Formats: sequence, structure tokens, C-alpha cells
Amino acid sequence: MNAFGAYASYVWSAYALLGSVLMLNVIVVRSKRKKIIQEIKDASDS
Amino acid sequence: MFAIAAPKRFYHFSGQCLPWLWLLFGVTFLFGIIDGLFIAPPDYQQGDAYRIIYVHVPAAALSLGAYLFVAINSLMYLVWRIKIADVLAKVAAPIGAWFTLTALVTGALWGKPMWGAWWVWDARLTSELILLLLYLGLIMLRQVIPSTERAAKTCAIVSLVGVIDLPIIHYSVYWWNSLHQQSTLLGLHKPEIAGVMLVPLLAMLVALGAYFAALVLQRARVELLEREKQTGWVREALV
Repeated sequence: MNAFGAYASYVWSAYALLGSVLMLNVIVVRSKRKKIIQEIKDASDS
Repeated sequence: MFAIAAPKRFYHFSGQCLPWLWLLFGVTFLFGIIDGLFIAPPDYQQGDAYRIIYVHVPAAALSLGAYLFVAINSLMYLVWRIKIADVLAKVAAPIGAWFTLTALVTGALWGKPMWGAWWVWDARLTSELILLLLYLGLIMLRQVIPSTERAAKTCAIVSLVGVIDLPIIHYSVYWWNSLHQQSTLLGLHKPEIAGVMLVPLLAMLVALGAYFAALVLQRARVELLEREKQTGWVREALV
């Protein structure tokens, strides 16, 4: 397998970009969710 | 439809949909990536560079689809004052912006080896760039307007005005002399792509569609928790 020869950097960059965008969005929403749930729990405890 | 729009019901219903959407995304994404990168044959003219379309085309389709979703929800908010419609319009805009950016960058990554240029001021590329600016405008409006209701109203009106860009993007390759190729899937003729190359493209379209739906629901749930944190149902759902 030539792993796309002369076009390798273009092809792999495109897929790496997609992977990064998909992961970044999931990480952001998960951390926001964690933060807001903690806030609500803290407010109900106090 | 209106029954599910109640925040509490929406929160529980979306929670039930999410695992299925993530499963659909995982299966079709894995299939699309493996098929698109390693099983589909190289193109006879573009060689392996054409494999970028498995990222570029679904991202571009979702960039338009997400905007349409924002506009439909904005209209629903303006007409019926459905709160959840505003929540959905708000959370879908940044996801649409990410898809638009991905479409533009992967287009450049394909354009350099094929056209010899990262960017040309072509009608399709320029109208897609305008779409990104529209998304950024909507995101910034939400940031600068302190009142949630005023921000919702203003963004709804702006997003409806911006809908004019969608047919311009789609038909730009027919209306103007464009360097960008005409539509492969949604053109005025039947798809001009070999079946073996079409399958991973459809898989990636389904995958990113499922991803968009799942992420919108997930972000909407967080936004709902934020907006409704003083209400009893939120405390019941979490504590």
C-alpha cells in the first residue's frame, strides 16, 4: 500500500482535520455539561 | 410536535435518542472511513487525491443542512415562540460553522494538487465563505446581546435573511462559469459516480448527519439545563 503517494499529505490532512473537529466538539459539549451539572448540584446542596 | 417541545419532555426524549444516534454515527463512520480510504479504487484522473471528497462533500452538505436547520427553527421561534426552537437554532450554528470551515479547508487541500491553487475567488467558494461569515455573525450576535429573548429574535431574523445564500451556493456552479465541478449527487441528472465510490460517500453522509443530530441534541440538553436550572424538573432530573 502506497498510503496515497504524492497526495498523502493532502488526504491525511483532510481526514485528520475532520477527526479533530469531531472530537473537539464532543470534548467541549461534555465539559460544558459536566460544569453545569456540578453548578446545579452545588446550588441544590447549599 | 408541540408536546415534545416542552423542555422537560424534550430533555427526556433526546436522552433516549442519543445512544442510537451515536451508534449510527460510529458504525457508518467506521465503514465510510475504511471503505473510502482503503477499499474504493483510485480515480483514473485524480488518483488518490479524490479520497478527500469523502470528507469534503459530507462536510459541505452538512454546512448547508445545518443552516437550513437553523433557519427552520428560527422561523418556528418567530411564528410560534417555541423556546426549544430557539435553543436548537442557537446550538446548531457553531456546529454548522465547524462543518463550513472543514468544507473550505478540505476543498483547499483538494484544490492545491488538482487546480494548482489553495483558493480561487470562484462563485461556489466565495458563497461558501459567506456562509461561514453568516454563522460567525450569528454566534457573535448571541455573545453581544445580553437579553436572551432579544438575541433570539435578532438571530432568527438575521438567519432567515441569510437563507438567500443557500440556493446561491447550490446553483452557483450552474449560474456562473465556475472552476468548481457541478453537483455529483444532487445535480440535474443522475449521479455521475461509480457505485463502488458512491457507497463510502453515502456512508459518510449518513455518519456526519447522525453526528450533527447527536451533537445538536447533546448541546441543546446542556443549554436547557443552563436556562432552566432554577426549575424543579432540572433538579429532579439531576439530583
